[in-house]
Amino acid sequence: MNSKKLSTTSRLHALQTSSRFSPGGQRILVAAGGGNPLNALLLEIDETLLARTLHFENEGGASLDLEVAGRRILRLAAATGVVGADSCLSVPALDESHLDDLRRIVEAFAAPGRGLRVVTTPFDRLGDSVSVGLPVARLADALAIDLTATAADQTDGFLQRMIGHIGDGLVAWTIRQANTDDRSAGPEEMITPLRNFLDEDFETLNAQLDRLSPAPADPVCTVLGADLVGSHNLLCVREDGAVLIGVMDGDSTSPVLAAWNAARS
Amino acid sequence: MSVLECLQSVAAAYPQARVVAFADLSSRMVLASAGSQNLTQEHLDSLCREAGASFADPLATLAIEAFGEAQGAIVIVPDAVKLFLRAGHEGSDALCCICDHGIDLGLFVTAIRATLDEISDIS
Repeated sequence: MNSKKLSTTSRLHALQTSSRFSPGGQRILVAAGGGNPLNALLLEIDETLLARTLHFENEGGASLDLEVAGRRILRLAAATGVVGADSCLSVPALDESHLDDLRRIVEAFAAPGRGLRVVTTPFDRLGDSVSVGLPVARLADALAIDLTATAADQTDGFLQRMIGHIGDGLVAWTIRQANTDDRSAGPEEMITPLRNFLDEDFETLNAQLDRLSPAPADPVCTVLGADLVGSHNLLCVREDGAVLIGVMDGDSTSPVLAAWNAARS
Repeated sequence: MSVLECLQSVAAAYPQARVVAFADLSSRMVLASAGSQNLTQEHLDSLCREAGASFADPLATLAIEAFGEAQGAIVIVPDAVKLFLRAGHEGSDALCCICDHGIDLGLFVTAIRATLDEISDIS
């Protein structure tokens, strides 16, 4: 399930995305009310190769300390406010037999809407207690989460946040990004012309967006309409090489600007 | 009211509109401007070229296929919100604006459209 390859360039670019930090110095993986904390938690483990303790906290005050290395979960070192965590807390080294318990624990902890923050610290892996651990890919499979698709989502997280904040006013959209399948939503009769447009004019569109953006690497959003407040308007957003093109219904002024501001915050 | 007075009036009503400029898109020149941000003529003309780019292909053709010729464009970048409105009956007249991200864009678009209509009556 997790065998698809993601462009190395896209992943490197995603890892260079500036992090957001809470006042307490924790790195914000998912803001409260936005994104998918469970996906973000698994992705954080998947991207941790060195031996680290990942201290996760959600907006409800619960926390999990996971000792991880080489994309494997070695031990549940601590847990606060997480129902069922005792089943894995006393285990010196996690393995396949703990998969179901761990799945329930992370599902309960990383419920949608709660937000997620993390602090990463190193830990020493003692030679006489080396554990193979539980591969995070096994946990992702048990949760029916495609880690590669989740990683791809991170690279256009800004576009997804804009879509989420605009809401129902965006009646049809498609996102095109190198090395991933198009993602779309809306009536097929509206999506097809947008895809055809990107098939034929992707390069000239990027050239046009280059003329509107102060720097090619900067995000840019444009709306075109007869009057911008009624009927249909075209929305086009580019960020990190990914391009969203969509159709707005009705007022495309304040809703789009508010979505940009929220997605950038 | 003169063209400049119209621009000054809307700029005063919307302090988050840093530049409000009346332009001729066919000659790519700004003819008058107002607002708190003083731009050189070179920068104003660059703004005019951006207006032209926002109404250019390939998005312009897609817009025509979708709903007809676009008369308004919004461009949002990290350091500004830009609004370009073309006069319906005389396509080369336009108002080009640079605003802060905190502006009430819906109200401002309505005000700019009314200002452009008033200026078109003067011209």
